Amino acid sequence: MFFEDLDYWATSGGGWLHRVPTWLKLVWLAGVVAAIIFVYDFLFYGALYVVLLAFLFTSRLPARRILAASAYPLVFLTFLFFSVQGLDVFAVLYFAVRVMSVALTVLLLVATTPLPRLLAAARFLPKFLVAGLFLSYRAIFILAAVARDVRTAYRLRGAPGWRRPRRFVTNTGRAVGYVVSAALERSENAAAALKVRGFNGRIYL
Amino acid sequence: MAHLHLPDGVLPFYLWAAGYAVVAAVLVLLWLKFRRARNLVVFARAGFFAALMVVAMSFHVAPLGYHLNLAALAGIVAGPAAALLACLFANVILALLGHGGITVIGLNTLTLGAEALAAFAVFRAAAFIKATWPRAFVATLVAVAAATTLAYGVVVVGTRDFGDVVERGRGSVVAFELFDGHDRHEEHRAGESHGSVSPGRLAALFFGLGAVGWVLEALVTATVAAYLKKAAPRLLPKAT
Repeated sequence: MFFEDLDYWATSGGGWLHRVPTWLKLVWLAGVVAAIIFVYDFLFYGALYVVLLAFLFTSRLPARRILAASAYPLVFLTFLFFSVQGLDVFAVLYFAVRVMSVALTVLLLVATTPLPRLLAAARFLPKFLVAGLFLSYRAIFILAAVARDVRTAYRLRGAPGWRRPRRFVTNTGRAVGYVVSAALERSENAAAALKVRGFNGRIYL
Repeated sequence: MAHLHLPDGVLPFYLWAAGYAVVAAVLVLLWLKFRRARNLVVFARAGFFAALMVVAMSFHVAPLGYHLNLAALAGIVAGPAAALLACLFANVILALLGHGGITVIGLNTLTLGAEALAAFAVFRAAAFIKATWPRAFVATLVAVAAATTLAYGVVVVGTRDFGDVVERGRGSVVAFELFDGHDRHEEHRAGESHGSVSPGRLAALFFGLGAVGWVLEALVTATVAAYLKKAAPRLLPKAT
């Protein structure tokens, strides 16, 4: 899963972006988001995107996968473009470069900074939000582990494909149901363990 | 379709700022509700459903880019408060993955939250349907349709100035005579509109293509709810 890969790159990477202080990366992100709101200059976004590409190619990250992920919002922008009358090449390029600039900035941040470190830096957020986001982060890995086990078991038992749609939907729904009940129980246990250890909603690193 | 996939830089400031303002107001209410309880299990449940939504949205049914979001399931199983928190957490994490913008986190939380709340309300109101499967199916279908309508409204309102945004960007390249910028800029000044969003075409995309996704979402949610009713009834509301 891409989220797990991002976490791995963030925790194990050794590029120069990994060594940049988290607060500086957050300021950079805030600057890019502010630019998206206030700047309409196509050339500015072109230049910004070139700078971000330079960051990507010098930061020892898997560039192809990150670029593919940063282009992901374009899929959905395409749906919007279908409903636009009088669309021209400039409009497509303009929105593409704006959208991909923010997406690439965010991905560079997450691929070089572990999420707990980001949450530790987000002291301005209320404790219950930090706690919730941290528990969500933990739950993704729990869910992924349970889902992988269930998928293996499902395939070993001869999972029916799309040729038998009714059976397929029923069995898939049951498998998802099992994943939900098992992973939810594990997540609640993990939260209870955190509480016993004195977790108060803040992350200290 | 109930989830706004618009990235940053498309919707106007007033709209996404309003989204954040409403979410902030909801958060204050939730904080007042949970402040004294110090119940980490509620957050664990919200966090779990956020993770479930993130994982569900990561798997696409090719080639149309359909994906489940399971917000309705969160509403039915976790209840309105935890589901709203789950929607917020899921949208923050999705924004960090480049799936949806940072500025639209508020609006996305509202549309997904509306789906979760509607599913919870309809599931509760439809208590006269004894079997869990059809009850969850109807609740999810109604909820996703309502949330899609809300998302459609947001996009229609938010893209009224789409052409103007393009023209403002075009102004920067006029000097370089790229993309025949000069002619378009003059036309724009003369009052001719280019690149305006057609609500009809948008409706066809949202409600035409989206309807297939609603049924898919309702099928999976209903099957999961029926399984939970049988295998883990403690997870569903007591009245069911």
